[in-house]
Amino acid sequence: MVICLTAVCLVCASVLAAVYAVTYEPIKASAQKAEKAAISEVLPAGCTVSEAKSCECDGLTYDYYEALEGEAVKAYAVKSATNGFGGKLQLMVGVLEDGTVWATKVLSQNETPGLGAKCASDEAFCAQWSYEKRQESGKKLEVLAVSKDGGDVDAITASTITSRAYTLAVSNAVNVVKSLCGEKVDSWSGASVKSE
Amino acid sequence: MEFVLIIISSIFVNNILLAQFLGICPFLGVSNKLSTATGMSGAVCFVITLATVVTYLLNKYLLVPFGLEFLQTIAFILVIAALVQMVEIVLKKVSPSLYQALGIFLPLITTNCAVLGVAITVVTKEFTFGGEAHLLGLGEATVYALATSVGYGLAMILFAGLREHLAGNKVPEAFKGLPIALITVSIMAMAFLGFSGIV
Amino acid sequence: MANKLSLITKGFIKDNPTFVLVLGMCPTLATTTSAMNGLEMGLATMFVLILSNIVISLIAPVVPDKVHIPVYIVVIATFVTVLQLLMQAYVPTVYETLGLFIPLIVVNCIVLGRAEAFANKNSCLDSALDGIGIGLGFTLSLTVIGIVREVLGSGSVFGWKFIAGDGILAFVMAPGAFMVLGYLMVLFNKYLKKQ
Repeated sequence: MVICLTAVCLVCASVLAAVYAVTYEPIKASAQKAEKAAISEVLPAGCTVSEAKSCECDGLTYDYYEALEGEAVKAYAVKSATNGFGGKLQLMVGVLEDGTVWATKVLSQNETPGLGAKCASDEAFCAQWSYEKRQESGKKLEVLAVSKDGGDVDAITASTITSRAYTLAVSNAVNVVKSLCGEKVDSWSGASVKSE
Repeated sequence: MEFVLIIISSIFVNNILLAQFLGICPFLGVSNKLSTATGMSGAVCFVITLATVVTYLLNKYLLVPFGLEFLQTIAFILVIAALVQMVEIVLKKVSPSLYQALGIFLPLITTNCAVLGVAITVVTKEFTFGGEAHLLGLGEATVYALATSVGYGLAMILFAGLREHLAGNKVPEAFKGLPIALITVSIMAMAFLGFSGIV
Repeated sequence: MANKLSLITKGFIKDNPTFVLVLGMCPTLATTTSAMNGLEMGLATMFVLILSNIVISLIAPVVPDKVHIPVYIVVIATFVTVLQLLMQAYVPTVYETLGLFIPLIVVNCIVLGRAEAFANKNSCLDSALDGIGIGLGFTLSLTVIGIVREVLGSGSVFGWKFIAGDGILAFVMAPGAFMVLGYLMVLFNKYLKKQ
C-alpha cells in the first residue's frame, strides 16, 4: 500500500522534473520578452538598450535601463510601482535626460474593470503620457499631479485613486532619472529634497 | 494596524466566496440548512488555517531553498489531503456527534477550492497591506487564513439563512433549487461589492 | 460505434458538468469574464481530464483500494503541473489571465469525480472518450457563459467590440457571474433537459 503510493509519487516527480527541465528556458525567455517589449515601447526609436541596472532613490530600489545612441545616454526606462486601488500598479516609464516623460506602459495592474483598469487602455488617459502625442495636441505636462491636486494630469473619470497612483509612479520614475543625472530632487509626492 | 487591514479586507472586501469565487461547490451544496452550514464553516475554518500554516512552512523551508517550486501543487494538495484525514480521525475520537453530523462533507473539504486556493495565494501573491507590495510573513499569513475563513463562514451562514426563507416561498418551477439560489447569491455579491475601496 | 459516440455527446446535455452535474463551479464563475477566457479554461481542464482519465483507467486495476484516492490525486496533480509549466512557457498571456485557477484544476470536482465514477471501472479507450465528452461539455458551457457575460458586460464578443464604451460592468464582476449562471441554468432546465 505504502509502496504503491511511494512508487506513484516517484514516477510523477520524475515526470515533472523532466518537463520542468524542458520548459525552464522558454519560461525565462517569455518573462523577459514581455519586459523587453515594454522597454522598447517607452523609449525613442533607434536606441540600443543597456543591461538592467538598479539604483536607490528615496529609500526604494528601482530597476532601470539606459537607452543609448552610440555612446551617449539619451533616455532611461524605469520600472516604477505604487499601490493602486486594488493592489500593485507597475509601470515602465520612459524618461528623457531632462525629466520629460517620453511614454509609459502598464506592466501589471489589479484595478477595477471599467474604472481604474482603463489606465491601461483608455485613449485619452494614455495619450497624455506620450511625448509625441502631446506635441500634436499641445497638451502640457509640467506638474505631475492630477488636476484635482493642482497638476496637469487629466484623471480617469471616477478613478481618482488609480489616476493618483499612476501619476505617482510616473513622478517617482522622473525623480529617479533626475537623481541619476545629478539634479536636486524635489518631487510632488513630498519626498525629501536630496542634494548631490 | 496591518492585521486589522488584513481582517477587514479578507472578510468583507475580498470575501473568498463572493469576490474570489473559491469554495463555491460546498457553498451551494451544504447551505440549505443553517445547522449544517455552521458546522461546515467551522470545519473549513480549521482546515484552511492549519493547511495554510503547514504549506507555508513547507514551501519556505523545503521547496524554495531547493528550487522545487514546480512541485508546489502536488505537495500542497497532498498536505491538505493528509490534514483532512487527520482531522477526521481526531474528530471521530473527540466529538463523534459532530463527526456524524458532518458526514460526507468532511472528506470533501480536500477538494474544496478555498483550501488549496488560500494556500497557493499566500505563497505567490504580493499583497499591499500596510506599505509596499510584498509576500506575506508567517504571522500575516495565519491572520489572513483565519480572516478568510471567517469571511467564508459569514457568507455561508448568511446564505443558509436566506435559503431557509426561500424554501417556504413560491418560486417558479424552473427556478426552484439552484437557479434561485444563484440569483440570490448574485444579489449578495452586489451588496458585498459595496465594501470595495474601504481598504 | 454509436455507443462510443454517445460517450462523447452525453457530456453536452444529459451529463453536462455545469448545468446538470453542477461540478466545477469555482472556475466556471471566475474565468468566464470573457468568451475567450472561458474557452481557454475549458480546454485546459479538458487536457487534464483526458490524460488523467487515461492514466487512471490503466493503473486502477493495480492500485490497492485503501490508497486509491491519494494516488488519483497525485496523478491529477502531476498533469496539472505539466499543464502549468507548458502554459507558462508557451502561452504566458493565457497563463497570466487564468492565474490561480490553473493549479485549482486539481481540486476541480469534475476531474476527480470522473476518475472515481468512470475511469477506474472502464477501459482506456472508453475513459478517454468520456474525458473528451465531459471536457467538451464543460468547455461549451464555459464558452456560452463567457459569451453572455462579455456581450452584456463589455459589449464585445471574443474581443471584437460592437459598441463604443463599456457595457453593464456588473456582468464582468462577481454578481454577474452568479446571475448569468442562474438564468442559463433555468433556460437549460426548461428547454434542453427534456428527458
